[in-house]
Amino acid sequence: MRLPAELARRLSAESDETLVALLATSLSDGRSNILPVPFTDIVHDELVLLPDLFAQKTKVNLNENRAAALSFATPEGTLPWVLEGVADIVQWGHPRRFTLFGLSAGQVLERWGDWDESIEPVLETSEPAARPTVFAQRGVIVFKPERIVEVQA
Amino acid sequence: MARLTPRMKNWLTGLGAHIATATSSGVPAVVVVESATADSDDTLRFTLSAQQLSYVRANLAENPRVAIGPGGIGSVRAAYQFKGNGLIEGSDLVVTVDEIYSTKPGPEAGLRLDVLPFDDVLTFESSRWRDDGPPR
Repeated sequence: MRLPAELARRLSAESDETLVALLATSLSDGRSNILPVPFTDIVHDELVLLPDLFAQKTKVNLNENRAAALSFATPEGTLPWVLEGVADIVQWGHPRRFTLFGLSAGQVLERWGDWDESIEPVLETSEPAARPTVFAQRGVIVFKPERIVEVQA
Repeated sequence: MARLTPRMKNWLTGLGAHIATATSSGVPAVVVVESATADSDDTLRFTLSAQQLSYVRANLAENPRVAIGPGGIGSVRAAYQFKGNGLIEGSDLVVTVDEIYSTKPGPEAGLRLDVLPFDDVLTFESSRWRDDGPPR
């Protein structure tokens, strides 16, 4: 599924807009978890990439259930879209030839495996406590949207 | 029983939340609301549109568990996650919170706050955040 052009533009690491993605995952028994991630990028307008900043519960959930949903927040409010699809994590330690949703681990980790200011400026915020104290990354979460939902508030 | 702090309530009531529900087999669906009210120290009330209700009603009927993240800039500056049981009352989603976690990136990510003494949670907040809610 191709992302709408406006959403793809706003999720691109090249966008200078502050945007937070909230990744909802769930255990296979329905206990859900929602993780804010203040960095996003896209590949081929079809996949959304997010750094895995040691998101323990998200990893546990994705290990048994790839179903996931993405919603979005900005300083001005929320975006109208929710993406539903599947997600998994490319981790440091995966063989370079390991593939996920058509992307090789080598390709993903080389480009996005150290998601620092070389990819995107650290989130601008007047609240220093909002910044990660140490920017350490375990891998890259890859989200593949299968459906886009517009639910009006 | 979890107990929300004034700061937690202020962010949720001021900027709303992203509310994740899931089917009983674990397929999540999220609705985003712009505001909330706190009925008590552990109960949140969100007014949903007809479309939002339609979207999550089936999930809640088979699985009441929900996960909540603060909305807008609260998604970063109010680094909490709330979990509990949701119940639809009219056009409202009423959530009784029974777990509260820190989502601050770094070593405190995933720290469970509701099991700490309440005064320790207040100290945790005041040592890390200078605000008591969203900008007015």
